[in-house]
Amino acid sequence: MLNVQQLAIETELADLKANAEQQGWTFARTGDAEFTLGVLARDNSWLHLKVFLDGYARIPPAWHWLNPETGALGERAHTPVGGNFFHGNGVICAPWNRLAYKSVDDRGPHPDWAIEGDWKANAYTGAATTLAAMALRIALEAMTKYERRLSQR
Amino acid sequence: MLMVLIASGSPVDRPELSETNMSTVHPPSKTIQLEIATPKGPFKGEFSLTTKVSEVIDTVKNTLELPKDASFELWYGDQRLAPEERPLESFHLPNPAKLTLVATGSGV
Repeated sequence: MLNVQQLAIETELADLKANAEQQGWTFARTGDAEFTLGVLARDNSWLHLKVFLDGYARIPPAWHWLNPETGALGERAHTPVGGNFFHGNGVICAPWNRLAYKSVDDRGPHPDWAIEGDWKANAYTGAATTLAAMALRIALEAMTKYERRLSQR
Repeated sequence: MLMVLIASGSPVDRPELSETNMSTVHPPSKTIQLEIATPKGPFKGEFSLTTKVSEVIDTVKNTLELPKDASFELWYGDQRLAPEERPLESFHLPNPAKLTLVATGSGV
């Protein structure tokens, strides 16, 4: 039986899935606490992510860039750059991404953020406190700020 | 502002017409159906073309009980619907239009 926290996450996942269907994104559950998401970039290429929810919402999700053909994570050819979110370190730079925390991932630009802190209270989080809200931001950045893949000069 | 709300995935309080205004309300002549992806899933509503963008945002926030003090932007693809005091008709959207409601925030 699901507890209250798990039910809340299932609700968030259902909201995200419904948005994906409406917007033409790809979405797939790949496990109890993980899913993949694909959004269209402004050059009409697809950006894919694999997201791990273990520990969510106590800690933020881990949004990894995904090679959808091999399942490899964080490959430079599948990692976008552009704007403030698609960071040149290869991770989405926002308090709602676990990988932005230096203590979690060496690529994380933020040694000043504590993963055990209240990420929802970080001023940079704003109202991006649901999975659907985070995905909407990623999709918008892909459509407006995306410049290139990390492997491209 | 004329509005009919149909939401999927989230509870919606539908506005009701009273007997009084039922007799005075006429069928809309110029409306637009909006399908908006939001932080709480899809929202569907029919609005008068004279509705301001800010009123659409407020309607979605109130209906889906999004945080009142949070700031959101309404987008049509890569086009932000701003300034938000402009009416929907000034953006020449298709009907129906698929929009996104994105939480204002910044990467760091």
